[in-house]
Amino acid sequence: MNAREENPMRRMQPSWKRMLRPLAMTMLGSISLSASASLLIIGDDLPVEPMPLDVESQRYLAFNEATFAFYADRQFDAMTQLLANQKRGLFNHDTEYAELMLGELYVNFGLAEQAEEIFNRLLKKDILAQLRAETWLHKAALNYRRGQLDEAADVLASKRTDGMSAEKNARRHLMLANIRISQEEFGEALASLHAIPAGTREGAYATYNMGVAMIRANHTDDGVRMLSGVLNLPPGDEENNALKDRAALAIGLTQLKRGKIEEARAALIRVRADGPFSNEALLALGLSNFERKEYRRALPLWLELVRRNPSHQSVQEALLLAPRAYEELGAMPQALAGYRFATETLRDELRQVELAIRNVDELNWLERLKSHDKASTMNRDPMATSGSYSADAGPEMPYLYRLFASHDFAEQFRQYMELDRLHSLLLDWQQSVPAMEQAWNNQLASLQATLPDARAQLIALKKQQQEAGALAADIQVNMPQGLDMKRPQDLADFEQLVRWEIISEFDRQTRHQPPSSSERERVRRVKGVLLYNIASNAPQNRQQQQSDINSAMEEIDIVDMRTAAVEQLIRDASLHIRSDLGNRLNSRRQDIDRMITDTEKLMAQLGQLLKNDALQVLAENRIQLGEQLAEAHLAMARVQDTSFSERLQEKDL
Amino acid sequence: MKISSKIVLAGLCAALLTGPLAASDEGLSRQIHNLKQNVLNLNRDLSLLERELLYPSSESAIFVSVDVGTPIRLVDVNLTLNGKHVGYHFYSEQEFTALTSGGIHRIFHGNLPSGRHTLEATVTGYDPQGKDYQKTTSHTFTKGPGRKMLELRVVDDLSTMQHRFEFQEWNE
Repeated sequence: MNAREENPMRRMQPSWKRMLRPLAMTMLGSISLSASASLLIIGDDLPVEPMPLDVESQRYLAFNEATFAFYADRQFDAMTQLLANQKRGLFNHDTEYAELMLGELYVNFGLAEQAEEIFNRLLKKDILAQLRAETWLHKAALNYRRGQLDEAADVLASKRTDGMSAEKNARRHLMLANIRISQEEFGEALASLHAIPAGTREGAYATYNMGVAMIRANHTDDGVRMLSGVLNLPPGDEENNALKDRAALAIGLTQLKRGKIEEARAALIRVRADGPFSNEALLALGLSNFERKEYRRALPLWLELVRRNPSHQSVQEALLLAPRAYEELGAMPQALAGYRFATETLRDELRQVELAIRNVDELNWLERLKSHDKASTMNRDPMATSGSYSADAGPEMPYLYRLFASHDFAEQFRQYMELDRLHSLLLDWQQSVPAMEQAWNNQLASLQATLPDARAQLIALKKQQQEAGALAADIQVNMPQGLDMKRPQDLADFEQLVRWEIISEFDRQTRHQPPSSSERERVRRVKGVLLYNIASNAPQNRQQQQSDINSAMEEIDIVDMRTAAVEQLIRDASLHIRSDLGNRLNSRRQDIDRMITDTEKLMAQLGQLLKNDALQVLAENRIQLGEQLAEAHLAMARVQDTSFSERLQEKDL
Repeated sequence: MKISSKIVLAGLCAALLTGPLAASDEGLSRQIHNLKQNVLNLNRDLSLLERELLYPSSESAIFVSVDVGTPIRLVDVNLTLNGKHVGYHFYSEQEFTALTSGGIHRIFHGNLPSGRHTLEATVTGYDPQGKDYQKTTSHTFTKGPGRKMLELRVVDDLSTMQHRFEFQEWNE
């Protein structure tokens, strides 16, 4: 770590970022603005002295570039950059900030062993306290992902994770609360929840999870209290509101199960009518009325529900419940019509499920899902977030919604998509490598043809440049400080110099004539006038000469630098044509082909698992729909039978 | 018929209060793990080979960065070098977040001839009130025999709530 000063504007950076102290900046010069309405032209250059590109500067650039990729949802790219720079020797075990980032990326990419190796290495070192705490946090997260909950809880509850930023601390306590919830240690979970800032989304999710877990563990009153805490949060964005709906529904259903109808109703009416849980809420509200024999109040709720998308399980239930309410009210013709409508709708849905099963069973089901993902997100990074799947991805999606919402299936599907993107990456490389080989061959041919000539020309140019440099230096050194008219040609400008040479020639030619001759007299007069002119302009001319020689020296410096640049290029090219780049590219081509085959094989296996899960869910739906259809037919027969008996009784009377 | 409300309720509760459905396969996971590691190494090596092929040791790069946590939104940057267009990038919301989190974006990477060059950058941004504006700046630099790195820092001018520019150069 170098001793550069930290730029205060960059203090909000993540920890591994802060570890690499940003370069101190000296801003020189000022900015002048010439403004128009929306176009402002900033003035001249900001003269800043270039800094040497030393190792720390290279690390600063390379690490911050990886940081950009990390936060821009291009984590695979970030990981590749870090690993490439590691191979180049720029990052090593001593660049802890890069190590920590790489460890986090390994965790996210599912390479737990590599991540653990890094974390263990970091923890053995004498590193900053905050970096150490964050490394422990990552290690705990790794244990948590692996299901090693006790190990994770040990770390998170200890002082080893003390002293992190507020954001990281909230993450620590959220993880700890989730572990305690799963272990049914609600008291400790509650203590962790208190450490999460109130009103944050993470806190709301943790509270919801805890409420549900408590209800499952028969601590129903405490669970309902926790859920009420979520329900009473102020309105927020769509995700927050959906969580509030979910909490209201969970309370409603729990109270309904306990027979506390009023409490159930009070919670259920707080579920938004246009929210994602409104179907379940309408069904449950109807049930709460039905249980109290308030059939007239149950009916409109279920009638509203049967108008909605029949692929939803609550709608399917309502299709049978609405005519049942008519029955209870003695409205047999309406009940019969309702059951008829139910049989038709359920039969249509059964057809839809059959179609969905066929779709899922088709070879290209996952291909269609992939194309949907490609259409919804342009990011092709293998670790990029996948698009969310809505009903327009296929008729099976409404039925598979719950499957996609489950953690394990979603994780498997994410892995499948990750493999698919790795496959695309490999296919891209498969096409690029031959192009790279061709470029290499072209470069080789071109360099071999031009290098000998270039080397020769460079030698000649260097000689010329050295001569010019020596001449310029000689002129600069020998330029007299004073204005000496003994050598007027040295003080003349170019035009005066030409005239001086002409007159000197005349002077020479007329030297054999007598001194009183008119020609010699004329030359003498002209020479006198010229000398007078040269003497008059001498200060300006000398200044100009000094300025010219300085410019020439600068130009010579640039030519010198350019010659050095060409020399460097020739050296690079010489090394380049002697390298084994072609062989290395060729060997990688074979690796790519092998990996493409491996990826396709794994995708086929994983895809089959996903299909099996989807088909199982659809088969269960088919059975359920079949049972509901049978129930609807039986109910129709019953209603018709009842009506017929009643008519007979009326006739007999 | 007794209405099956208990069953309906149980179904609803199960949907809301139960855990995941699918199971994972250990052997497959190990194979995927190995494949990922191999692809990662391959991608790293090919990136290095590509760089070796395309850029000699005298490569040049131009980076863009902003102040961490800036409220002034950077929308796009357009670069010209010696009057020729060399780079343009539109920053998505996520990329802008990446910049404000301390990332720097490589907007140009290539081989420049040695000597003097004039870089002109036009930046479009939104001030905290959502008003758009555009600013242009120019910078002259010299490229020598080694690598040249240049960072365009788009920093906050809190007096105007717009951007101003700083350039940082590195020479090898």
